[in-house]
Amino acid sequence: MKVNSTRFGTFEIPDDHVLTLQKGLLGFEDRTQWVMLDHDLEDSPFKWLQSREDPDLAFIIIEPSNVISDYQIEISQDIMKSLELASLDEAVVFVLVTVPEDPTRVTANLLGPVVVNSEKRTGLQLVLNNENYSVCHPLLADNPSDPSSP
Amino acid sequence: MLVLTRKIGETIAIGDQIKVVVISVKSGQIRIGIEAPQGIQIYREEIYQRIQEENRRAAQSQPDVLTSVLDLFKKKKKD
Repeated sequence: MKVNSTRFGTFEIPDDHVLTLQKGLLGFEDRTQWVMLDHDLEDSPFKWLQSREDPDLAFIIIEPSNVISDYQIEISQDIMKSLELASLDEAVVFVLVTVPEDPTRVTANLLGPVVVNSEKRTGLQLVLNNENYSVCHPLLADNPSDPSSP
Repeated sequence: MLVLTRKIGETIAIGDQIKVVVISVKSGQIRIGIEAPQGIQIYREEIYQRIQEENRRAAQSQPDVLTSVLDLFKKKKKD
């Protein structure tokens, strides 16, 4: 199928590459069809999440293990069921990145991770209750909650 | 909005599956216990709103800046 995007032009993807976010993303609840794209720069931990329904709408995403080494989430049985996940090991988790004009102020939203069943191509954005995580965790600053950082 | 007065330890039932208990009240802070079926997500409303706002900010991310971010990021990982 064809995907139109402002940033990447029009491209073709296999139908089964579409990722369905069951409730969209918070603030974008009516956008449920997405495509994950690799970043074209070498060794990039960043990917793009492009809306299939809105060419203008795309997010930069990253796996949270690239942000803090001990990132942990709890997923209720109910969410596991709605994502058809048998165990957490099957889940792919990513977080949304905010890139402002000043690159040193890039942040990741650790409180609203997106959990995906990559086999079933379905996912959900969670709202965590973990008070140690922030919606705008600095990606480049030293980070006290990460014991591996110097 | 329905407004009810409750004492510590007293419960409010919402339907037959949701219970809200006042656990303690201390200097303007109220601890509340909630029992609800698995299917119902419970969270602090301001966190929900903050994620919503941050999603909107993230949608405005500057693609051109990402290259510089990547350089800085790789440098940080090497340190």
